[in-house]
Amino acid sequence: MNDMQPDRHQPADADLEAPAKFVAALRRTQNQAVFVPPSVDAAVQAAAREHLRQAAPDRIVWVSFARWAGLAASLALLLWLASPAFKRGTAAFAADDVNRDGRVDILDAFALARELERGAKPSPAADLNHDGVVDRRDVDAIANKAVKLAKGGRS
Amino acid sequence: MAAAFPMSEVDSTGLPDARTDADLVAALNAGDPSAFDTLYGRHRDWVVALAFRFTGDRDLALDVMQETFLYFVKKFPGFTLTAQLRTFLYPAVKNFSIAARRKAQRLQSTESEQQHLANEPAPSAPPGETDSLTAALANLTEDHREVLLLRFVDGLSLAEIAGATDLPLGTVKSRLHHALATLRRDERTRGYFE
Repeated sequence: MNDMQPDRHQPADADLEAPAKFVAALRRTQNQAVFVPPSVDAAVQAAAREHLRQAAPDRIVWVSFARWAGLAASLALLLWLASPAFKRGTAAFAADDVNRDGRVDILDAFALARELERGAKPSPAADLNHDGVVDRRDVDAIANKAVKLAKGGRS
Repeated sequence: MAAAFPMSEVDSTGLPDARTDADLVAALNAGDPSAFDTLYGRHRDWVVALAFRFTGDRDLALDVMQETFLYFVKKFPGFTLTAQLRTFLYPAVKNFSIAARRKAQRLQSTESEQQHLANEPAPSAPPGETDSLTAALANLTEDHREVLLLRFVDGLSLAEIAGATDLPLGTVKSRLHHALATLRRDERTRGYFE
């Protein structure tokens, strides 16, 4: 019989038990002492330690590398979080918060006015009155809003 | 089972190491060599007995035991224990034993002796044991005897045997069933089952 084939009639687990006296006798047939000399134990343990010792430098180098890489990554993250680029790039600023300081006030009106005076091309988002151009009227819109907000609070 | 010379598995304080095999594997992965000593002490006797079962030769069994533990430790760091450690060690012991027997046959035998040994089943019990149970065991196929001994001598569960032998659980059950049925029918061992 080929017992590698799936057996449609699996034996019940009870059929797979054996009486204690049989198990005890079976164990006696295998109860032959094999003396392991202490020198063999010592050789195996020494060989194992040698392998582990040789493997350790790689691990130390890796741990050291990982530690320094982690430190460098942390520093880079801190610098990026502190950078103006992060503030500009990730925070959700209102369109009229021209100087991106997290509030809409008269300084935003001044900032936009300075940009227009310099001839710089302001962000299209600064077209607050939605007339298609960013000009003095947008500066006024911010100023008006800032005055109103000054009475009621921040944006 | 073999090995009347048990090795202690005490830790550096002289107390038994209470860590599980999984704990010790984790410690070995972290570079703790004492974890190997404890695992070695815990499984050495089983490994050498198993090797002796496969080889029938004490010197070969010792060689196999050494090879098995070195094979094991070379898995570190990075070894993942997915089941009982013995289900990992068993196939290693078996394969090293088969290789050791073949090598011994090549080195020590004439051609005619090699032919004789090639037809001889692996010893299920040490040479010299001639009681009725040993004779009945020798009458089993090697596959059936292997499962029987793993279950009742080594104390592995059916699932662990399946893992150790890389056989489907149903095949393990089938082999064990047939081994027991053969022994129940055998007049030399029938008395154990009555």
